[in-house]
Amino acid sequence: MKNILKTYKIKLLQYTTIVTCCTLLSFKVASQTNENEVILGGYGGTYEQFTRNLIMPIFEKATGIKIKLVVGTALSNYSKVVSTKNNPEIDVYWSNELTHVSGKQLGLYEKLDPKIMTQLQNVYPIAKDPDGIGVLSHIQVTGFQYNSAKFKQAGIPVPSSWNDLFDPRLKGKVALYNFGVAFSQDLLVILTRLQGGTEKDVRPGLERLKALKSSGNLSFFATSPAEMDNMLIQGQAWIAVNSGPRSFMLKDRGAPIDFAIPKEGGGLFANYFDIVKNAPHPKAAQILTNFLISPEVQEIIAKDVIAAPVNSKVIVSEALKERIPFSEEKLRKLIKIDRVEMNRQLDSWADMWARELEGKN
Amino acid sequence: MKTMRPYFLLLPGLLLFTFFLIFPLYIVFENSLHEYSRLNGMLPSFSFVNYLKILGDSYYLEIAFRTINQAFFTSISALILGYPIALFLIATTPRKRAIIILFVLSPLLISVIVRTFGWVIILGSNGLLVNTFQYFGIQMDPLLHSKSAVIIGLTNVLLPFMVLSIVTSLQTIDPAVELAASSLGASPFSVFMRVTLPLSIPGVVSGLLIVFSLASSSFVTPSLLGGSKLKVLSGLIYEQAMILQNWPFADALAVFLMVVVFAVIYIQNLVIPNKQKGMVLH
Repeated sequence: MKNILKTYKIKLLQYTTIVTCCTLLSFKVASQTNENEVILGGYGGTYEQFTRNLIMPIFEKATGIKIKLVVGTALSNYSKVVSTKNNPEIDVYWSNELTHVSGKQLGLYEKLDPKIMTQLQNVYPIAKDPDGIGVLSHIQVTGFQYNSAKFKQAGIPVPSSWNDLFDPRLKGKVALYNFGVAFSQDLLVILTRLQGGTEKDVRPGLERLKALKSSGNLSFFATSPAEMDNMLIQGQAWIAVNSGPRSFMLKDRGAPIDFAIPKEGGGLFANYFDIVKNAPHPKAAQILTNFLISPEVQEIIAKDVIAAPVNSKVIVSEALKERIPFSEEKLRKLIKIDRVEMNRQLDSWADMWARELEGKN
Repeated sequence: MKTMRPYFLLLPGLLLFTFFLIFPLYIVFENSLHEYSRLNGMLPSFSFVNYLKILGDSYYLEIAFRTINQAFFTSISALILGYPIALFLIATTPRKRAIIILFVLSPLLISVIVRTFGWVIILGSNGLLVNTFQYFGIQMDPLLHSKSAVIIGLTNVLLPFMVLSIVTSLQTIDPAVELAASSLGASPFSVFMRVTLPLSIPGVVSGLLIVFSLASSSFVTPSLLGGSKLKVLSGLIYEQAMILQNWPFADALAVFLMVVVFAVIYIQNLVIPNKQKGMVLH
């Protein structure tokens, strides 16, 4: 009996020692990570492709720092940034306008160091954050994604105004994202502004959307870009409110899809690079962000995403210029949404949308 | 000390269970007791406001009812479709059994998203189902974005769980018992209703349990096949946690879902007799 007890005690002791040693070793290794690595919280799909194939090798060659890519969506990476607030695991977070404002409000981001961020002087003023926290990465336009073949067949002209959504010829053929996707959030604001309202009270916009639904035009809410693409290509929906890049991506693949910007102005939709506060590699993070807004990388992003770069020194082909809000003039025509107010009220907007717009049959 | 020895075998599993299930569940529960504001994040004060919000609002209760309703009908349809398959599997040759099992398990071999998109295409307004009916001159509304679509999709993927559960239970029935019953003058139908079915109840119950729990927590299938009009609790939790970043409320919804599912399973266990009546040992 005593022997059995002894064997168990020895085995337990051995096991515990091994486990403790391993954990301590791993801590030691972790604490020794110097600025030879930087963690970027970026996007998947084509974004991941050009980040891995083009951006990462160039950066590593130029600076010797390895980029570790964490793939997600703006929101899933934001959840990571928020939940690991006290011990961040991401250095540079590729955010969108809403998570940028929301994170700024919660104090999650670091100020950009102008000494390292030398490219900031080449960036358009509209692309800079007034508090020096984060910088825009690229600018897209929110407008109409429509099936040009179906429109031609039905004899409907190319949509040119936000009110064209209410065209009776489009009965049952309008698709919108549900409130989870940013473009529908923006649409709510845009329709409110067109009614003369502001972000403080989006009821005018919501009433317009309810009218769109009760008129029979709005028939479908998509939960993801893939679903929306499917609906438009199959012809179940003829028009949707979506971003330029998404539409052009389908067009270039041969689908009968095109993009149109309403005359009242498309929505300005931007992504940001934000440096997380107390990041594990603060200096490398600043160097990476500076690299990401340099003309070389901005050109890659502009070409691959089909969006407007933020660095004024980028040379863009004429064909690409047609598709993006490249000039200051084009940018000024876009409807810029008050993201701070949006951030403050997003919960109540989501509630209103779910209950009054989608919930009711 | 000798009697403690077997429990050491449980220790690794218990540790894993504690770390990766109990501890996170505790965090979820603890989080749900806090308030959240968009501007200040999660507040340190304790309050039941999240739970009061759920219980006091017919919107959330309607969603909860829909979740349970869909899961319930999925279990029933899986039972109706699965029991005959299980009976066939027991009676047939090993080779045919292997082929049928492969067919039944095949949905599990494909990613849930690919599989669900397949259903989106089949059930859509330009899809296979509508076109087939049109060929025969019957005009029908597309099934997509309806309760039926969700139940079809969920049954497709959860059927193997039901089938395998019932098969396991049927395998414990000694064939001699059924032979004895028929030799005593029972018709095949009688043998099934009075011998086979009652003896297979444990398998049916565990199958219903598994399918119900999986169906009520399923996320991709109800959201793609049901659309955003037919929201279920899992979709709501996702929206609150990931889009609105309101983790405390999402945690409260998750706890609510767990409690509701446990309650239904408990009631099910009370109503359906689990103990085999007069089990024959062989």
